[in-house]
Amino acid sequence: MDPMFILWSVGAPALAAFLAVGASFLASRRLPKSEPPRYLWLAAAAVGLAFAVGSPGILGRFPTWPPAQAAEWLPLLGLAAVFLGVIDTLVHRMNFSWIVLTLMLGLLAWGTIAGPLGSASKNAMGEGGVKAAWIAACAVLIILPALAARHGAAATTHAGPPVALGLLAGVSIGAIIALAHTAKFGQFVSLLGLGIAPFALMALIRGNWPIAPGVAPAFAALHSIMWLLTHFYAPRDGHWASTALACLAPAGLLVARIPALSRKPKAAGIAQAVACVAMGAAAAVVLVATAPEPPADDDDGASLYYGLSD
Amino acid sequence: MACTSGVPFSVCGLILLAGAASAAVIGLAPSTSAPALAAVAALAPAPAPAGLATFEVDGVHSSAVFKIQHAGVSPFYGTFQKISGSIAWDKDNPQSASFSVTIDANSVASGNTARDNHLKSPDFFNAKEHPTIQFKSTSLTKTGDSTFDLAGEVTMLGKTKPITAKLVFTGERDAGGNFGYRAGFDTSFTLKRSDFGMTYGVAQGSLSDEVTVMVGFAGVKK
Repeated sequence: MDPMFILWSVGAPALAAFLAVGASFLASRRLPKSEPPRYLWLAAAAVGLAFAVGSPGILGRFPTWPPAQAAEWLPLLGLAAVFLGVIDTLVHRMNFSWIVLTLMLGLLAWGTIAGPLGSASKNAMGEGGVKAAWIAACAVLIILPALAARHGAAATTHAGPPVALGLLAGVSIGAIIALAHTAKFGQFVSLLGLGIAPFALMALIRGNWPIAPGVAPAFAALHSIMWLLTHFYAPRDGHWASTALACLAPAGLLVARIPALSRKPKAAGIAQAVACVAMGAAAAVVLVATAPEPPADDDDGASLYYGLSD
Repeated sequence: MACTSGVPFSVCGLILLAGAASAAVIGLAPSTSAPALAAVAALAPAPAPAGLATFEVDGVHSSAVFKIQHAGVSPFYGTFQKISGSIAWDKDNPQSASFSVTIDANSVASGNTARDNHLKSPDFFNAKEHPTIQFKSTSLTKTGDSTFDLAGEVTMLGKTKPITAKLVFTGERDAGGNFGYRAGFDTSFTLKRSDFGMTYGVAQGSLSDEVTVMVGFAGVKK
């Protein structure tokens, strides 16, 4: 394994996220607890920052303009997520700021990824497949703000939601990627994990440290974009399974509404994380179990190929 | 004809207007003068040289093979099953030849289903987004009795890069029956796949950046 690859695709994004969250945490210690969470704007940039910084490492070079492939838009969408997170944190008290911003990013993703992929996929997927892909893309744009609303509202009170979301993304998207036959997107999703990791650490150190509200929309937006990309490349049989997985994410937070947990933020956060991992693991099992069977005469040693684990 | 990029739109507009006006004048004149005809002839596309024949690539009797180094030690070969294109060829005037070859990225085959799916994914050929790989020649330079340097451009993964291939003209004849009159060519070139944005396994050292491509193709005279 090339040390430079690890440095650029793992080390640099992790460092960027930890520095953003660490600096924000140190600054927050001097402020009274009554201060609104908008001073955490630097922490809100962590997820998008990790994604944007690590993307060139995964692509193997800095992106060129104009991007020639859908994946080459991702570093730029990472920067857009930084903007989304920071602005959403600064103006969180204003109603519907998250709706406007997440829809803006959604439309950007639509224009840069869904549109070109939809038309380019026509040959490979046929008319029916393209139609299904467009329906799914619309679903993403509905799910995206829903995710942001669900998590953004909960994130200001305790650390559980972002951690749970990160764990869910790691498990669920990983399962989808296995169906899409691509490692590149798996590496991109791992950047989301690196971006959310400092918040998981903060949840262990200080469970009541308020997470910047913008973290959740930024994470949800990038998560949805990755889901959208993976969806276009996954076999047709995986479409509904991947849609179901995306819908599971907000459902995981309902655990915190259990009366016994509602007054215990730390316990609620852990319960949410456990619930999300359990759902993600269950979904992964279902996905693998329902994956299309190889043809009966496929005895060419397909199981001996280890390319995706290189 | 579209205006060339980089030329201001107003300049293009003026040229088009001037062209249209000239054409109108020529069309309305009762008798066209010889210099005017010569000027019009000079603007018309150059006629194809005599002897330059058009051949259609016979995909069934053509092969595209690529070679890549795996794990830093061993050469590995893969193929593409679908090739198409056209050739303009005159063996007496080979410099005037042109080649246009298209490979179906979805037809990549390596003898292993899982690997084939991976090769079609965004990690490699990204076949859903970029279903074809194209080559268009720009010039042909004779280097021996039947060998040439074939310069051209390869378009893959949405990026176009210049390459120079070694081309061997392997003969032409009327093969009779369904085979028809055909010409054969053998070519090989090396490219860096990272130039096209295909970087999977390069940094890790599991797959080489340089890939050798060998295409043996036959053209059937139209």
